[in-house]
Amino acid sequence: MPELGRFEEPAILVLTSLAERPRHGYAIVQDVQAVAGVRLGPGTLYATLARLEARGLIEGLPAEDRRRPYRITSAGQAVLRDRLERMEAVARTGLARVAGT
Amino acid sequence: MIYLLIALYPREWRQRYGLEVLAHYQGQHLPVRDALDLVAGALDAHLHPQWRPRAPNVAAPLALIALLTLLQLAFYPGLAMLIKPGFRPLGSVLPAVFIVVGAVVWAVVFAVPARRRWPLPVALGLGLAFDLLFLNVLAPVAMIPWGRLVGPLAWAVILTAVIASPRRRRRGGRPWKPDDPAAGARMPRKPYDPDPEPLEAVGQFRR
Repeated sequence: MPELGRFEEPAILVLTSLAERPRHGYAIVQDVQAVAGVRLGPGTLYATLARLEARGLIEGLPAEDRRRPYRITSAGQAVLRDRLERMEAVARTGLARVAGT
Repeated sequence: MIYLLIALYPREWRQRYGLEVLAHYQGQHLPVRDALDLVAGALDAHLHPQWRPRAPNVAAPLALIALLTLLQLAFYPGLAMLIKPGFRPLGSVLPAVFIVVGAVVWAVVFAVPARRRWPLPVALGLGLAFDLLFLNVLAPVAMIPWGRLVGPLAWAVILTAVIASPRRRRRGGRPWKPDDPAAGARMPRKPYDPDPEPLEAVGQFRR
């Protein structure tokens, strides 16, 4: 996930939320808070959504009322899977080292 | 408060996300932390726009520059020949310099505000400066006695062109209103449901 800078972590959280099903912004915030305990502010959320949309990792669906659901794309799923596998490898290594000390 | 914060964002961003952000907080208190986050997000949106910026509308200013340059080319020698029967347009360096410098000034007056999206008063101020400094000061210095006649005509052309320019109708720099069609889609007046039905439950977006 190149060039996301400080929005990389929120991007992973948003992609993880959208990997379950399409969600609009408010539902993403709620889901991320429930899953990761992180509360995304509106500025951070929409800056992240804009970056993910611009990179084709998510796509906006037709707006319902005032809410536009977002859906993860196949490219977004691939990026998310790759990043989570890396994190899993790091977590596994870290846990093993902690257990060995 | 939320309107003012959304107004900090670029127009493209407001059109894309403004209604969604507004929907989050309709009828709800906006926490200070979220307000600060919106301010930081607005700064980020200006510094790192994630959409392709619209191509500047340079066609109209360029056409105006070409037209006004042609007007100068026709006006100066033509009027000079009328006033001074012995005047030879190609025999004097000063009119040529006057025309070239004038064309550059025309270009600055019209192209810079168009590309930079300067507001109307700035464009008019540039036109006025052009009128006062160039036509009424440099023309007598250049010993072109009819130079002062060009001032009112040029000023009228500048006013007409700037007021008729598409940039005149640009919407920007004012508080964002959800009912403003120019700022995005019209927002229906329905109370926001903070706990919507899951999308799968209504049979849409099933993958």
